[in-house]
This record gives sequence, structure tokens and C-alpha cells, in this order.
Amino acid sequence: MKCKNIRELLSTYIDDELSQADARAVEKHLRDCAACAEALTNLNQVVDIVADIPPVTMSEASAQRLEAAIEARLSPANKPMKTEEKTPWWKWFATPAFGAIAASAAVLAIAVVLTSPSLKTNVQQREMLSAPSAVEEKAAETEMGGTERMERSASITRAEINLLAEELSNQNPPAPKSDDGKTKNSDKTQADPEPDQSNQIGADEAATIAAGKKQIKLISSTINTFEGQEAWIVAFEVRDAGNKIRRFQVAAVSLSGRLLYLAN
Amino acid sequence: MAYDVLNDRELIDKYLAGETAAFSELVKRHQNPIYSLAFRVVGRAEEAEDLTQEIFIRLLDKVSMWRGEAKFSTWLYRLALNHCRDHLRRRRPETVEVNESLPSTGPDPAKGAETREVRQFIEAAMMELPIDFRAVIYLRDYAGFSYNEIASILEIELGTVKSRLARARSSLAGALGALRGASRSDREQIDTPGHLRG
Repeated sequence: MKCKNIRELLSTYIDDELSQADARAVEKHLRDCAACAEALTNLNQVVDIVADIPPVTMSEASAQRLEAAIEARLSPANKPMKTEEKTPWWKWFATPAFGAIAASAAVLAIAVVLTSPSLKTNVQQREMLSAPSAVEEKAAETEMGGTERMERSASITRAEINLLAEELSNQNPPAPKSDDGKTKNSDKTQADPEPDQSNQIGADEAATIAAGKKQIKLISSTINTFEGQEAWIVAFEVRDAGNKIRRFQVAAVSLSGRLLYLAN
Repeated sequence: MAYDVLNDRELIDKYLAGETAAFSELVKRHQNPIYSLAFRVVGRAEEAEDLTQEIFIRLLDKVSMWRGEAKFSTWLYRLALNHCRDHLRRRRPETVEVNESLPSTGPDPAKGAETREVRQFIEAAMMELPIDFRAVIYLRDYAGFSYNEIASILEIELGTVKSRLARARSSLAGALGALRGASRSDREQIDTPGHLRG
């Protein structure tokens, strides 16, 4: 065999996965060819180096977050169901408790995020707008005893928010039904059927939004426990000036309207 | 109940029968390998942590679909890799600063600085490989899966495993050769008295 053919077999030879005949041919060639022997040495070094890379492990804090997220999902409110019975992620938001108050607080907060020049920084580290106290009061009323009181035993994690945003983008689902049976975003049929797959909104887009050329359209919202506090979990579309859907996003917003997390 | 003595199949059966603690044990058992895989694929600790959480949450829904034809770890790696691949597709292309994002792996007294440098260089070079090649070299040389298991995880033919692995290793060997060549050249520049250099 020629050197070219032998070189193609060296990797498999290292792993002892060649047929006996091929292995013998390689060994015979290596006895007479210093260049191929050196190539084998180099490949072996690479294999050794990669095998020698120290394992990376989750930090203690990260492992605890994972455990908490799993525990939350395993809680009675989220007890395991068979796959086919599982409610699609986005349907979490098709709850009758959807209301204008959530829209006010959440969309206001999100609008501020989207127009923030430091959009790409960690949203948690950013000072966000507090919604007017009237909004807070109304939200509190709704929580405490209003007819729109929601099931709030479930909690949601950042990872779940990310998954939800992903599901929305991947599935481009039909608009959830509102109480009166009408679709909330009934103009969705005009929307771009291929929304942008990237969930990140760049500074250029933020500037466009700030200039009023894009708009945010709320799909739905719900209250869940997020990182130890009650929060609106809102799903929304970002639309361009032509009312075409640019992307789907999901965010956690405190009841006072402060953005807590935006799906990445 | 001592779940840690049960195998993966037993844990999954118990979880599906309603014993949620069995799933927690399953997570504990596999979280570091999956985190490690995610980290080697995306190159960033924080992203890898989020991905690990997403993968196990997804596993909650999908675990009932594991029929046992493949080893559970093989099946889980496939689920995880597909998720990481989807994540990379969504992520905007950008340069990953591998040296900055690699977490500290602790003191390594047995290895000299040069060995560490070479290893970091190879880790960085791995991140430059296309994901399909990066995955195959990770699964074989780091995680120790067999060719058949890799074929199953990546859902590719055995021959493709061999050829991708050969190309990935050759690429890294080439990069290593270039590094050593450059180092040798630097040393010669330093060691050689000025009047002997052209």
C-alpha cells in the first residue's frame, strides 16, 4: 500500500479496529517508512493529550441549581406524565388568566430591555424600570383574590424559559386561544412563516425598535415562581415595521415590572 | 430507598412508576458527563450549565422513549448532542475565546507548564473543528466510547466514524506539529547568537 492509503488507516489502527489483514499491511509499511511511522507517533500523541485533558465538572452551585430545577419539575404540581400526554410548553401560556395588567407591566419592562444599549449584557445585572405603582397594585389585586387567579404552584427555571423560547421558534405555533375563543394574534396568518431562528436581539435591532420601526406583540403570559419570587412569564413576538414576525422571545418579569430574565 | 445501587434501567422503571427520587439519582449519576460533553461542544461553562439543565428537563419528557436497545448513556449522549447542536445552530457565529472560558481544572503538579500549554492548545484546536469532528474525537478519545457506540450516538455509519475520527486526529496532529515547529523556531531565535543568524 502507498503512504496515502496507510495514513488513512493509522487512526483506526491505533484503536485496534482494523481487520487483521489491514493491520499486518500497516505494520509492514511502518517498518520501512519513517514518515508514516512519525505520523503514527504524532497521532498517538494527540490521542494521549486528548485523553489526558482533565475532566470538567459542574460547580457546586450549578449542581444545586440543576437539582432544584429537577426537583421543581418533579414536584406534585409537575408530576411526570407520559410523553404523549405532556402539554406542549407554549400551551402553559394559553391560560384564561391572561390579562391587560400582565401586558402592561411585562411589555413595558421588555420594551425597556429591547431598547437598552447594553442589551447584550447580563439582564440580571442591569437596572431596569419599575412599573408604575398602580400596575403593581392591580397585579397584586389580581393575584390575591381576583377571578383571574392562576395556578401558581408550578415554578419555572431559566433553562425552561430558554426551552420555551426555543419551542416557540421551532414550532411557530398557532396563536393561543383567548377566553372568547378568538386568537389573540389573529393577524399571525400574515406573519413570516420562517421566523428568525436566533433568539438574541442585537443592538442594531434594539435601535430599530427604539426608533419605532418594530413592535412587540404579547402572545400570552402567566404567573409562575421564578428564582424564589412570583413573576410574570411572558411570551411575545418581535415584529418589524411590516408587521412580520421577526422572532419569538420569552421573559420573566417581576410583578413590579422589572425584567428578571430574557431567554438566550 | 437506596437508589444509588440500582442500574439505569431500574431507576427509569421506578421513575415511570411514580418514584420521582429515582430520576434525581439518574441526574446525579449522569450530570457531570453531560456537562462535560456540553462544555466541550460549546466551549463556555455558563452555557454548558444551562444546556445541562435543559437536557435533563428534556429527559424528563423523553425518558419513557428509551427502549433499552442501546445503553442508556449512549442514548442520553445522543439526546444531549442533538440539543447542543440545536443550540449552536441558534447561536450567532462568533469566536469563542477558549482560553478565557475554559474553567480551571485545578493544579496539575505532575505536568509541566509546557505540557499544560500543549494540552490547552489542543483543547483550543478541538474547538476550531466542525462540531461533527469535535464530537467524534471527544466521544472516542475523551469519553472512551467504542466505534459502534459513537455510530449509535451520532446516528452515522461505522465507516463515517472511522473517517471523521481519522480526519479530526490528523487535523489536531497537524496543529500540534505547527505548534512545535513554531516553538522550535522561537527557541532557535533565542538560543542562536546574533552573529550566527543571517
